[in-house]
Amino acid sequence: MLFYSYFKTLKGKEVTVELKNDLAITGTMHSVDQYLNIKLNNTRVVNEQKYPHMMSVRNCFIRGSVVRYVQLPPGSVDTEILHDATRREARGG
Amino acid sequence: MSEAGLADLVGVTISVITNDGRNIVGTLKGYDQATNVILDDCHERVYSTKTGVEQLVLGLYVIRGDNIAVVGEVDDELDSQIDLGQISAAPLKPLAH
Amino acid sequence: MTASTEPSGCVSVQDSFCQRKSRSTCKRQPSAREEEATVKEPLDLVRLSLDEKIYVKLRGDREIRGRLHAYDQHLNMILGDVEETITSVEIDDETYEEIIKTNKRMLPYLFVRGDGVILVSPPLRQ
Repeated sequence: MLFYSYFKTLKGKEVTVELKNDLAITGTMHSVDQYLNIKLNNTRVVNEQKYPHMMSVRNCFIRGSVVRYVQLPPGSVDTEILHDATRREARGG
Repeated sequence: MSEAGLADLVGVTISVITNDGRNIVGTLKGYDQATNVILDDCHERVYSTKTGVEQLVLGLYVIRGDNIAVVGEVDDELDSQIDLGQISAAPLKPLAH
Repeated sequence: MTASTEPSGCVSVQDSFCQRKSRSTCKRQPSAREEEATVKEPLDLVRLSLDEKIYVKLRGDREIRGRLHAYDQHLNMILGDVEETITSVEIDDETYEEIIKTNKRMLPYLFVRGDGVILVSPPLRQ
């Protein structure tokens, strides 16, 4: 639940989601669910020349299982909170 | 709404990218928890580096959620402005899990 | 469906996640400190790497070095000051020799999905 809770705090922030097919999509975090499926608004594909496949898409749903990375906005990462939440979760929370 | 579901896309044109790299466009008729989707009047857009995008008519499809990577909401106005015949690109790579 | 239909369990996690900061300055209980030092299972070793620079090997010939800020039982992670290295092999058109190329990039903060993780190696000594 740690990352589900964390991703919920990113609502409205801009992230880049990199998929396991190398497609990278930048957009505003709209919502996330327990599977870490992610919905992005105002999306644009990084390197649209190479990947024109989503040219007419502005909002999308990304299946959690196909995510490789999420590039996070620096201002939205409070490392102290993350450390504590991680320790608590490791303790069986 | 914090749900990351597809509720607000029902009845809307969507573009599905499958795990094997295909792109299927159609009207979302239904979906479930596992991201299985029902697509009506759908077609596949086949990308190639040699020619423009080719469209294959498929009809009514159910796509299993396990094979879905991305579901995109198609902006019909934007989409109608694109001349697919002029767009040439390598097909998307299959998903390497 | 609305947000209020969430199971109560995740609401409490969310709450403690948000409130934690105020408590983080408190001294830890001795029992917690003992708990912290024991290594009984692999993930205990990962816990000891929190806030340390680690090395992660990933699927698809990718490697990451960065500071570990969060992880869970799936080895989903958040890393900071990340350097990603992608290794690829190209064949020379004429000599057919294999040319190994490495591409590096830096990212301030990165969430890494656990299913791509092959191994995690504790603090790098430099």
